[in-house]
Amino acid sequence: MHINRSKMPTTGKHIQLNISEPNMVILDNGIETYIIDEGEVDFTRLDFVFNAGSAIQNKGLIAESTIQLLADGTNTMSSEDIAKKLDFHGAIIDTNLTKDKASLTLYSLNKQLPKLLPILKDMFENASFEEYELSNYINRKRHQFSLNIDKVKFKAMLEFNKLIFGSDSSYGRVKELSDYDAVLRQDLVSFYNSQYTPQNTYIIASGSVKSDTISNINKYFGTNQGKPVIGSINKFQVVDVTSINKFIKKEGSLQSAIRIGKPVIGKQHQDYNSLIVLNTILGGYFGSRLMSNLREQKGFTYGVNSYIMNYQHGNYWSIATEVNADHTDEAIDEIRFEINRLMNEKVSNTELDIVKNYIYGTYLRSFDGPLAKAERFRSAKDLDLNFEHYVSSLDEMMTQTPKQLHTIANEYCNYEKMIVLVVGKTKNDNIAI
Amino acid sequence: MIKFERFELSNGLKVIAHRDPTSPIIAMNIIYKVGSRDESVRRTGFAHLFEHLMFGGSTNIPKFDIPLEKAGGENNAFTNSDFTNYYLTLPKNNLEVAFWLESDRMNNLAFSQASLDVQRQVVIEEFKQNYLNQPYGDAYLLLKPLAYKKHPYRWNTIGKEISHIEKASMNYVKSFYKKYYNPNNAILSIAGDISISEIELLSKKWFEPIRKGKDIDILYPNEPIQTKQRKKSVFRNVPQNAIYMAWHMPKRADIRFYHCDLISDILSNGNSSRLFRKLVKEKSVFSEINAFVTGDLDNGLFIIIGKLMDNKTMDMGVEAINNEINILSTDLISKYEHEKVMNKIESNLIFSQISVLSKAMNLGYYELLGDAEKWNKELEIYRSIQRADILNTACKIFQAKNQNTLLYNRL
Repeated sequence: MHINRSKMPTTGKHIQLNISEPNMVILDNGIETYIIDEGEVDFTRLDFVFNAGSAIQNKGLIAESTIQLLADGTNTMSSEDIAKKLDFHGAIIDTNLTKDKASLTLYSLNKQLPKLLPILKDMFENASFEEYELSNYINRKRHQFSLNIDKVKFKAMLEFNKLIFGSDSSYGRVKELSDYDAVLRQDLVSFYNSQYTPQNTYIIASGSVKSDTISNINKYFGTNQGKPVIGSINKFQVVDVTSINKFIKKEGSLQSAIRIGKPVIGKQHQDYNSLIVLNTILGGYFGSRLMSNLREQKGFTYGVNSYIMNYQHGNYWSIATEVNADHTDEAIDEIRFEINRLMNEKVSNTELDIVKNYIYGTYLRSFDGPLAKAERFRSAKDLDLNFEHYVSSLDEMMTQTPKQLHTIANEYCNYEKMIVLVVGKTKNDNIAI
Repeated sequence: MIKFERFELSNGLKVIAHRDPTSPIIAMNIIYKVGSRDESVRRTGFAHLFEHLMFGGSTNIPKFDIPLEKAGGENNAFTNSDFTNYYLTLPKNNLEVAFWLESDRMNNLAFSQASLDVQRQVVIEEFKQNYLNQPYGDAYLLLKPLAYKKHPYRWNTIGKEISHIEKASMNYVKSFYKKYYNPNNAILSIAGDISISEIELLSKKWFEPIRKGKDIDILYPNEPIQTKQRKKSVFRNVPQNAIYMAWHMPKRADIRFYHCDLISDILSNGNSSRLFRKLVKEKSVFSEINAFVTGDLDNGLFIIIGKLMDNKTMDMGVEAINNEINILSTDLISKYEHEKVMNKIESNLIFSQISVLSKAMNLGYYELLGDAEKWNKELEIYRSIQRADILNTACKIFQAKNQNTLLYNRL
């Protein structure tokens, strides 16, 4: 058989994204439950999402401790009882916290679900937050925090968040070591009573979702009417941020963590899809300009990427990397060079073509299977969007032209307006970065 | 049950194909049977460095990632002590691109000096980032040579020292490629909405012309049986004291591997596990503690790692772990605990059968273990294990003379 290895096999046309909106079922108490039933494997994933993110808390660590202590005791079951039952029935449980939401995800074989749902119900309605459990938890977490804060990467993540949103704003506040000494049981109880209510909850059921699973969901999660709320939750606070650059010295560090970025437009904005394409070109995939430059050509780093973070009340764009500390200044120069390049020259059709195909492939992958779809649905829903939004965004990204992108780059990519943070070392400690 | 077809090309390449009509994505996985255990003691870290070079261009494809991204694909790779694994996913109508890409780099690499120079630097950064520049990063660099004296598992996949990576030469790169990167030393597995006949056709077209390499028959030095407890203590700038313990245990293919795996689940899988319950929650000796098995092809390690609470001494930590180990070596686990770990195993196993990538990777891995069909038998094997088996194996493994302890002290 003759083969021509020098020529890439022709690629096929883009496959249409196969995503229809999930079915929505409203439980007896009004909780919206979204069903993504496509599974071949006898397995279900349940996401319980609460308006209980860190931006809503009055004090550091409250949102985090609340979601993580749900399984540590209820009025009728001890932490050990719960752990034993969940483990016995093979439950895999994940919790997640963002600025806006807290969530608990259960992965379970369908045959085990009827045993697991009542336990979850109890956790969501009657968590007890015993003093003993709280102090045990806080002690462990304090240890982990002091461990993490030694890493340039972790330190940079916290500091950058403060610079972007302002350290006194709801989004900008980050945890500090002293927060671990200030958490009180009563803080958790109030937060739990006000935020873990049916009005603040939605559910996603994905996988092989049987009809008896849906009726069980209603049976266990559709009866709670919530508790009367005493006191008010935190008011969302925004502060004006003037962009400043910051350098935090870390003695003896082999690497410097660099974060460069700024607040940007959100998903609903008409320029957003262009910005995503620009971001991908810059640092959104393995073959990106930053990766080729900093890693593949210079060997300064093991990895560099750029991304846009979206929240309900704010978004930011950031470049993140850890580089060989001896090359910190050169790395920053190269990042500036690559950002300026977006504004100075049009992207070639060849490069744009690669990026579009990469984005398309990423979309296809991220909707592969019901569990992946649940993940995507959640991130849309949290920003009040739906699946239809993904389809139209993808279409729009696929039609971007070099000229359009060049215009958008000049509007949004000005390096002089970015915040630069370095944790580690630079050649000259006094530099204005 | 995961159904698959399996065939071998005339050059010795093993191919496994699994059809999943529900996915728009195809996953392709290639295992080359070469890992850090194949390295010479003076050139450690090479198998992993080589993994990086596999992206630095083959004869007809100057950069592996560009055409793949053009085809909407994504890929990655990892190296461990035993093998090097490359995987990619892409839209199903671009299947042939995957064959073209992977066959070209199996056929011949471009051996670019520039790529070698840069990837050496990248790997050195990886070494610093993961092993030197973070707290406890060098623990395995210390623990492995404490536990192994003869077997090449005594060094880590990243290498013993940075200087080995700095010294890597082009000549050595070439001979390494010639020796290990051959069809008869590889396993190709594919999962997605494919037809078996198409996979056969494409495999023959793209992979069969690749020349077979010399058969490799390597005997790895046997690690002598440990006869005395070993201890090492180091001081580092870290926030809390930590204890690393390792015991020698049987290799992956041995039935006692499964016993050890269950023991590690009993000790630390889930919030009801023994170590978490007793030593973290009840006695507050550790802020976190984990037990796991390495699962190596040759005899591996059973490892426990604990981070001590500030008000507890190293001695108290060691004693607490030893107590738990002794209980496992004297008392049968309860029926309840037995069933619990089995249920957990079942959940995890079924969960791993959902994505096409996980299916392609697992089929390849079990074929490496001797037979892809073993993946389907896995649950049965676990289910066949009796409580007495677990006790017997615990007794053998957890002898004091088989123990290696690394005390990682805060400065």
